[in-house]
Amino acid sequence: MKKIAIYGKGGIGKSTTTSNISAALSEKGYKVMQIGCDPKSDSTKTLMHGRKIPTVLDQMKEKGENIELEDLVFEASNGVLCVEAGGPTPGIGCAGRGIITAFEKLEDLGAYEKFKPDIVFYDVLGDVVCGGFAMPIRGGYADKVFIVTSGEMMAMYAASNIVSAINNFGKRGYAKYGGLILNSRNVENEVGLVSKLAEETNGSIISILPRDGIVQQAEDQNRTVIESFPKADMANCYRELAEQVINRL
Amino acid sequence: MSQLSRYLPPFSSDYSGICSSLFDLDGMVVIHDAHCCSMNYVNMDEPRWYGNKKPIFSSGLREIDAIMGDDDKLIRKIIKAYHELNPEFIAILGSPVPTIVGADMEGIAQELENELEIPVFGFSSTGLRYYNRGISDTMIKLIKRYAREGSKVDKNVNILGLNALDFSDNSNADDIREVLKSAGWKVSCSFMMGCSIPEIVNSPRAAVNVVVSQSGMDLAEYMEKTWGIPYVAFTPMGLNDNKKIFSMIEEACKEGKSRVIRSDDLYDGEILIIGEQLIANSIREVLASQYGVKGVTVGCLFGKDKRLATDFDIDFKSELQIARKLKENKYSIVIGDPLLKALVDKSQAKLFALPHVAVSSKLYWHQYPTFVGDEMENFIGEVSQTLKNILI
Repeated sequence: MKKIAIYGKGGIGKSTTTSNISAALSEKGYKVMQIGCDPKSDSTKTLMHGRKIPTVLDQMKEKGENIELEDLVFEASNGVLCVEAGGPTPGIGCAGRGIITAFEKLEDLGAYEKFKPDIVFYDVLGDVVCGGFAMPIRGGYADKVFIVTSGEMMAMYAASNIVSAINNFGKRGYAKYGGLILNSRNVENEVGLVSKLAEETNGSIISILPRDGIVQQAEDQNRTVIESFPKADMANCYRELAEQVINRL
Repeated sequence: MSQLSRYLPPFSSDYSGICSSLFDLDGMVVIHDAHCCSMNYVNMDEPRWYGNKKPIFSSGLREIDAIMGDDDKLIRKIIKAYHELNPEFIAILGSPVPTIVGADMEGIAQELENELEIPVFGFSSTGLRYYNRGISDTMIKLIKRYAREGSKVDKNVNILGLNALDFSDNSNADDIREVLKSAGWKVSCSFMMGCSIPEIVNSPRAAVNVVVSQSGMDLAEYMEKTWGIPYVAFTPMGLNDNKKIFSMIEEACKEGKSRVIRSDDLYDGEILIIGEQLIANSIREVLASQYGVKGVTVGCLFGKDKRLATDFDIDFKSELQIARKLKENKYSIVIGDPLLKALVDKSQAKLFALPHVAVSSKLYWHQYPTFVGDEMENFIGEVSQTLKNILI
């Protein structure tokens, strides 16, 4: 089992990218689990065809100690195992602590042992803002961290911060920096800018995803591109990205 | 509100269990807290604290440290203390605030170990779990780090789960070791009272493990799985019933099969023992086998362990639940900590007081019963006699 964390600035396309990688790997026969780590709990929406699955934290609140894995892990029609960590009501509570609690619950219930996924993706909200959102990088969780970025300044700034967090944890032998995924926004000299970022962070661009309206069309259908437009060029881009991710594990 | 306690104090928590387990070893313990948890432990939970000098520190966590997550400050402080004290190992323990902010205790420990090149144990203790979880985690961490497989030594046993929060600091620990020795068994390692790291190293060579509290169960299962050592779960209790444990140990050793000592035909009857599962089980066993009293239920205060409990044993999760159960007036006799008196007095039951450090702390730890010998034999005999009188 390999565990991968996907980080990046909010709104950069992490969930879309992660869901398409999950779908592409599932298509190739891998058993994939995708864990959304965002209080919005919309990471797995396209995999679940628009169905909003109950979150770990909501189920813990509702069911207390009677909670079972079946309450938390949902299989999408393409076989991807979907989990949403969830989070507190907007404006109150502690989202970071929520991630920790959700992760601990999955472990307590033996989620990895029961489902035995080949690949686990942690799709993590925005930046590594606190201990909770750093959880997927810590010991026992992700082996590799990939960062989704565009050539926009704030996206690259966030990516740089995330790499700093990974390096800080380096002394503890935690997850390694796997590289950048360039989700193009058609910024001028975008590849050049992100290449420079890769160089400065001692990483590389593992894949360049072009900007393509078909992604939005698939999302409008509550599907991944892999499922909605399997023959589209963009679907092949995601398949290639999935291949690159696997090659770097 | 159902979790609110009016009469019972908060029970000892996981960090106290860890500290207490490490008390006899030459390590340095640091609780990452704002002095409150460490004060709880040294002032309230550890009967051996007074008159002893043990390097158990608080990190002095402040609001700004919690907000900023300044692990380096903690690491610098620990390194400084290490150079002054030269402990054999270091343990750093979480508490509620680090838990809430997600402090990475294992990661901090790894950094310290890389720097100091001595064993450093990081415990993600939360202060929200009971002491028995802390004791269990400690024993497992120590055995995974230190134990070395070796050829089995005949007639050698380990004792698992011996701790000051269940057994206090009277003669209980010595008595339990002595009663095993008197039957011809040599105690290899007495986890975690009166043990040393060399003893932990050699503990996989024992023929049998004797589990004396529920905190020892996970380690017992780990050692059974890893080194094939069977266990017998029973707290030596009273005078005569210990003979049974000797034959069970012999059988476990011969057959390589673990055993939980428990009579048949037990039922939810007239007596309720509220407390630690395995100690309560053992009192029940003496009542059943010596006095024929089989209607005894255990009300588990620190979690019901399915490996040890009967179906009808109760997992008490709140004071309210205990109060409601007692108000049913089903039980004629309750055995438990003296602090339960206020609750028992609201029912028709009679309380037989049995102090427990993890419940009433220093209030009664000088009146702690000795489990092996006359005192407990007489106590159980009196319970049995009282029940007979009630039933007449």
